[in-house]
Amino acid sequence: MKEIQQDAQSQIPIQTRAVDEFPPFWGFGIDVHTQDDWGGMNVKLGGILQYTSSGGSANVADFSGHLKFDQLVNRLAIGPSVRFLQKNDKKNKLGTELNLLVSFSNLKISSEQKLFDAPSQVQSVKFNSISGQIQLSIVDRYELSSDFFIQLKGGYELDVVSGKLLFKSDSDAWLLTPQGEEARLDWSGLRFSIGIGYTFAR
Amino acid sequence: MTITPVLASLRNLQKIFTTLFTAVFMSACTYKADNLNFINIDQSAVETPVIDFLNSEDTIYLRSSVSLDVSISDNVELIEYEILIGNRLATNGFSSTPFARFDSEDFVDGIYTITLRVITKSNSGSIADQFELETLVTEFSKTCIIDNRPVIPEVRGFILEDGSLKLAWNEYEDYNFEQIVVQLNAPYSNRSQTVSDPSISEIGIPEFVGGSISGSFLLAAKNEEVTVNLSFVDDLGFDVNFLDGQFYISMEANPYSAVESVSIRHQNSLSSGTTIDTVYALENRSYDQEVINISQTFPMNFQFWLEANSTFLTDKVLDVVDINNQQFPLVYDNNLNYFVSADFITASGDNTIVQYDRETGQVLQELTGDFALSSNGEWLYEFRDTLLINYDPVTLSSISATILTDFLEIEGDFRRIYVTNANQVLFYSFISSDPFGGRSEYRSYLFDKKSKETLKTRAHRSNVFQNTDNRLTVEGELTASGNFFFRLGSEFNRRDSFIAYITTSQNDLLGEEKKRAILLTTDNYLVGNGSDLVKRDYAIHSAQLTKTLDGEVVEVFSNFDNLCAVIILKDDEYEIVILDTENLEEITRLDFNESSLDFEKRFVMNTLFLSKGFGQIYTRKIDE
Repeated sequence: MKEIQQDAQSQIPIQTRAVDEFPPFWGFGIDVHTQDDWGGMNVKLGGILQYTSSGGSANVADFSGHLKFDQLVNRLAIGPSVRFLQKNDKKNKLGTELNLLVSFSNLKISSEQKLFDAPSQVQSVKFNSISGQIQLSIVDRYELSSDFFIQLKGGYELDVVSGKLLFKSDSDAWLLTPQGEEARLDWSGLRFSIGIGYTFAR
Repeated sequence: MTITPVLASLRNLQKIFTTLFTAVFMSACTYKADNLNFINIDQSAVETPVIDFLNSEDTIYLRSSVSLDVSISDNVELIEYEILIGNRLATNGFSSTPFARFDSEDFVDGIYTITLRVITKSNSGSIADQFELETLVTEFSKTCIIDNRPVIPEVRGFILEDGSLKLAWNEYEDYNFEQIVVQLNAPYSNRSQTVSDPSISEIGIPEFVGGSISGSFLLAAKNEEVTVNLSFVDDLGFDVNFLDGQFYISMEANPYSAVESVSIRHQNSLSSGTTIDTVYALENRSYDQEVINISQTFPMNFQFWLEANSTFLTDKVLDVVDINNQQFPLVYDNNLNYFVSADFITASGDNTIVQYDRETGQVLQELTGDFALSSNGEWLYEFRDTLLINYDPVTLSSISATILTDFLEIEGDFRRIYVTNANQVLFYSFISSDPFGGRSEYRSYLFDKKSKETLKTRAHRSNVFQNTDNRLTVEGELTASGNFFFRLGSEFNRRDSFIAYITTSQNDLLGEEKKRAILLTTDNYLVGNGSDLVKRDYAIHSAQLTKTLDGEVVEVFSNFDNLCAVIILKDDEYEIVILDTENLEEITRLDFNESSLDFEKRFVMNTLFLSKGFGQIYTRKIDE
């Protein structure tokens, strides 16, 4: 995506500056796991739903108006989860978690030109892609009460399969990089999360 | 699994909460690219144009076609300028040094605000500037008055009043009057007089004592100048007639009080020097039949000048020929050619061909048209429309006609034809005037009537045909052969004279040609060869008669009739030998000065003319 941003900058006659280059950003997710052990090995099965987003922006602005080139990307990931927690009576339990994710991503590329009082000229295109990831995390769970707990999680997510960015209005077309290769989203990276849990039944 | 009683009772609320929770989190966790790279532009560096929009005038007067000189400095990059009268666009343009032109007649007369709107690039460096969408509009306004009423000078003309000439006009009473400038050109004074008072309606010209006066009357109003050309002629009824060997002069009384003296001078251009100055006293200013006796040397080309206060007023030119001791004036214009035969004189001007009886001088026949007569009288042509008509020069009846356009297309406006003894017709036409005030363009065609071929054509800038080494040439290139009657000077020069020139034959060398005379008979010609003078047949060039002289023949010329003159070099001295062309018998011999060799030499009837330019004509009459 950064290559596409740089390429767009080079093609705009006015000099712009990249002010956003796909930084880490907040996401949210929901984990659901069983209370019962699977196979008597402190292994709990469940599922995970995640929503994450990021973006890039190259722009310039002054008193006469502004010129923007934005790329906004988000994804909704869902998949099975396997968690192994230490079995002890302490409130704080440490474990590991393995997630297999299927991600549904959406990329919106937009440009905007606005000068003085003239109406903005906005152009945007959208792309979709499907990809698959493996996420391995360390989980720390601290029980606040018999029902509520706090959960900290840290790990690494690795893109395993990444699909083409298909043009939303025409799935037979897809986005290419400036080098003419198929552009793909890469969600690999470190993940950290904090959450509140609730035990529905014990 | 166990569900708490509270949550169980709020099952629906849990769904709503879960949905809201999800939506809020999704919204909060969606990235927003709202960082902005904002650049502060220093607009103090933006330059405004420096413009001279008629800074020296508070109010602008506009009339008819307007051209405003506007200067926009080059410190800015001009996109466009507009000139508005009121709110209406009068003109626009893109030059930084415009002569803004528009027609004020597109606007109703009245007082307006005229605005120069200059649109320049801001050069601020902003985004809009880089897209060339940011411009700087600077306006300059002034009051203008549009007044399209025509400026009409009403010149009443020249008026003689109380012995003095005045130029009078009706007062120009409009507020936009600026001044009147009268420019007068008269032989005795040129002057320019400026009148700034609109109530003045005449100026005196007390110095005028007759003759012609010309000039211009310029009425200058705001932003408009109208010029009227002025011309006034009072020739005082001056006239000269010739009757029975005497000139009779008539003239009215000079009515101008400034006149102190009146004089008449006259000169025969075919005799040496200015002859008589006759000064008349004031009390005798008017006379009807004043007689002037002059020495009789014929033919005569007399010019009479009327002068007052020693200044030229007007003149008259009269030519008189003497035939068998009878003198009579030739009635012709300045472009006359004439031919004298044994029985009659045929004279051709631009528009007439007149045949006089040689004995009585009476007009025998007269034709009007574009005629050309060869000097030997053999060829007489008229050019009429597309026809070249051949006339019998004796009977003046037409013989044949050639459709000239079958052989020659004459470009431009036909002006005149000439014909040589060799039957070559020279057409001369006007092509165009030089719009920049230079010389006009002409074209000449040399057409051989016998072969019906155009021998040569040439464009030239001069309408004055030049005679060099006895050849008729146009700017030194187009040369016609044969004999011409050719006038000296320009068509505007009143001193033109009838002169017979001998021109070279196209087949002979120039050095030999100087020794040749072509005789009127057209059968024979004379040529010098060493000390021999040979009479040859014109057609077959065989020698008919040879006369051996006592010196080397230098030059030969004839009177186209019965006499020829031969210049010989004998013992380093030059002499002129006059011979009878029939039998080559010597008649008389005259001294000849070597310094006169390059003079024009003409032999008319029994008078030998030597000339070098105007005013230096020497005559020697040959006693028969």
